[in-house]
Amino acid sequence: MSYEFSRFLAELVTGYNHFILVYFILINLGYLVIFILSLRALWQFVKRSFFPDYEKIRESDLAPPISLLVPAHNESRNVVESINSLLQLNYGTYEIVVINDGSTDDTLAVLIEEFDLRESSEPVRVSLPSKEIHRIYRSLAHKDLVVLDKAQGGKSDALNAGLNVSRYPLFCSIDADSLIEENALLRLVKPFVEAPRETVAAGGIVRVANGCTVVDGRVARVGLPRSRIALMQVVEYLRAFLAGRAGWSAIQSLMIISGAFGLYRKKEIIEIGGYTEDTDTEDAELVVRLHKAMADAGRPYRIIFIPDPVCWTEVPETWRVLIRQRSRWHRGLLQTLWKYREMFLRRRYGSVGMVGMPWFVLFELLGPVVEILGYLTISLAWYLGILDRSFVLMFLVVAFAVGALLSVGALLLEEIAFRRYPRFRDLLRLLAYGFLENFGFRQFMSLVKVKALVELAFRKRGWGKMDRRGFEPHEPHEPPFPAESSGSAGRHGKDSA
Amino acid sequence: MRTFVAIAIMLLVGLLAGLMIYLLARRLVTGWLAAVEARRRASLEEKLYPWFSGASAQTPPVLRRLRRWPDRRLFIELCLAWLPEADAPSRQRLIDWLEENGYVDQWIAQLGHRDPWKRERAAQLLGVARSEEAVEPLVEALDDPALDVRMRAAAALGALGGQAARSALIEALTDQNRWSTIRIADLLSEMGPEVGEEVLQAYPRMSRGAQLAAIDLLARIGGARTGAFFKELLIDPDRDIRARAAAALGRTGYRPAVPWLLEALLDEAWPVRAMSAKALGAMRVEEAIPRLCAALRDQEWWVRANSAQALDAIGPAGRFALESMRDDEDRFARDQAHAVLAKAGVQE
Repeated sequence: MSYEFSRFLAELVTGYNHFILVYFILINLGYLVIFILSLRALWQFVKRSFFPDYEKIRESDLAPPISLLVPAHNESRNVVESINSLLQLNYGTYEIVVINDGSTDDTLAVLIEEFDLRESSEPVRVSLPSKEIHRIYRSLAHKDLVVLDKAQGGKSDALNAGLNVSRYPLFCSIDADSLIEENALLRLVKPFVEAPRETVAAGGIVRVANGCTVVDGRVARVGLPRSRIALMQVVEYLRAFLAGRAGWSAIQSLMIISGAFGLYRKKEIIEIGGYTEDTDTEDAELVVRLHKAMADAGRPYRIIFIPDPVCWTEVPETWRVLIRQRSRWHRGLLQTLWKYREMFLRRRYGSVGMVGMPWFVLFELLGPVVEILGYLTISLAWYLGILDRSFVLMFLVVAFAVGALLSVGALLLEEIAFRRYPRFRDLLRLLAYGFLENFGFRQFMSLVKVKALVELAFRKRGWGKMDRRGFEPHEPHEPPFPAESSGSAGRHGKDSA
Repeated sequence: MRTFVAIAIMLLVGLLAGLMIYLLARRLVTGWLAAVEARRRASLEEKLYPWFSGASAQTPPVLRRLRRWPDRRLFIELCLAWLPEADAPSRQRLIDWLEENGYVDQWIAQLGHRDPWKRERAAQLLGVARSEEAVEPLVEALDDPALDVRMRAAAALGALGGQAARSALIEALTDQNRWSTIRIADLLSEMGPEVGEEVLQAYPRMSRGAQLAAIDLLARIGGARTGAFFKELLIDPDRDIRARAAAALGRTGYRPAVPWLLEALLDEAWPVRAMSAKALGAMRVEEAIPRLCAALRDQEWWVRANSAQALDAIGPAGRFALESMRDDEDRFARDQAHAVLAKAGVQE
């Protein structure tokens, strides 16, 4: 290697290191601000929840009826448990629309057998395009349970078909591998009752069901999974929801509502064309499109996150599935941000355009790229003999400490606001993993995200295959905790912290 | 630079360690405190209950030592639990004691606290104590910037009752938040029939949201003038008011409004059509059958569903019409007819 080239490389590496330093300070200041906003929002939420109005909402004639849309593709292991949990919801008027999206397993047969389904000839008014609906079934046992059997078209297509069949003015999208807590709908619908003209969408929190004991479609005992991969995700989800979305919601910049558990006003969603299939993450795309449509129309609106309604979901326990899932999420993030690039730094889109979009582009999307390039430049600097080892070591310690601090901060929010993990041992394990995930797991996830961006060229699409273990059944030797009267559920900790 | 990073490391590691220790210690301490509180609460309850229930006339000595933590808070919690279910003499004894010992004054003062949570708590306690002294401050709290405080103050005034509370609550119906107006209407509906006339008088100067809530409220409490009033509202320019008025007419069963309801079945706004159909069904208006059959072909599901249910509710003539609609050329009309007849057990 010539001297000039070595010198050029050395200058490049030094320049990049300076850039990394500034980037690191900015991203962590940003996280700190979001954390403080989340802390404030959760504190207010906890204070308000001393005086719940939920029963009043349930009793009110004006509580809007809700259609629960449950798209299912090869979900035979979990779908019955999931629907049983939906049938037990504490809410006035609601219907459950399960969309069997061309499952190749026995999902439909299981549903027909379990819920006594009979074919129905009811007509469908098509407001949104979707693949052909083969048959519509209604349950003889539960009058408000409808099952659609349709040609496979993906999750967005399934949700559009469900929207066409649904009757009610609000709809809630729920993953078939998720469990909703009993009062979750009451909590999620509250902003729609309090501010019906402005509220167009609301999302709840998604928690990890692996390790919990499920009895009759309810999480009877909250516990932590044995799998280390799943345990890391427990911390990730808490950080993403409690220390992330709560803060974004507080500044009206919530850009993601989990597909696993979100409540929307149907009219607005149909007006903007329903779910689309041109991104890998239909949930994020829908929310950003909704922001754009509302702002373009000049309508006052609210899209909010409520930290209490809980949806419990099963997360991947193998690296293979986790990598596939995260790749899909990151591809979807890029597709969504690219699709709505005109919102970037545009004042007419309010805080979403001026704060949310820039943050997601600069830090959520490009953060992993910057991080991986950082590790590469360290190697290059070592090769060129210009590595300041003590400084690099100190910098890495700071980076790991900040990462651990954010995770522990999220656990603090969880402890102050909800304390869903009652055992002391669980708290210790969460703290340990909040610390340990910074040593390897986080870096590996960054690598996966970078790989996902590269994969975009291949346009890998579709549902992705999730290897289900099924919800953990009741353990007879250990009595379950009494069912929680408060709280609720959700999933897809998409905004990585 | 190195020094700066070294300081940052020390600060971060210190903060991290502190946070982790705090989390663990908090879990242990709160667990211990909860156990201590449960014991204290049981002990306090045992000492107070004889006096509170009237079994003992002597004021328990423990009430003089209430400044001690955590007895004071526990005592307030016990008051909150006991007072709503107490008989009149027990309630009066406790309220007198609370007033004499400055609790009510303290809660009134807390209505001006800068923390909305404390104001809300104070309003709740005043509502439970139902002290007459609190009426005026609670009326002022109906203008509190925090919605939850306003709601709690309204609930307290609802519990207190009386002319002043009633007038203040009717005034509070003009609150811009729809949910609070609904809740205030709920409270007013429980304050007796005399509320109706006052609401009718206040209606013209109410906001739109308040008017909607007032219509619901009037439908619930009834009254001689309400039917005619609702009938006039069927030609209001606001579609939500027309829809609410139609629903109210169904609830009150005001038959002179039937011709107007039949017209409203052709209203341009679907909520009005849906509510009119429902009202005609509730009033069992046989002459509405042809129009309800036509409404079964409406574009909106709610209108079709309500019309089919109305035909079923009308009785044999309506059901006969519904059966004939099973062969209608409109498949949506056929489907609704089938669905309602199946529900009624007329067909499989």
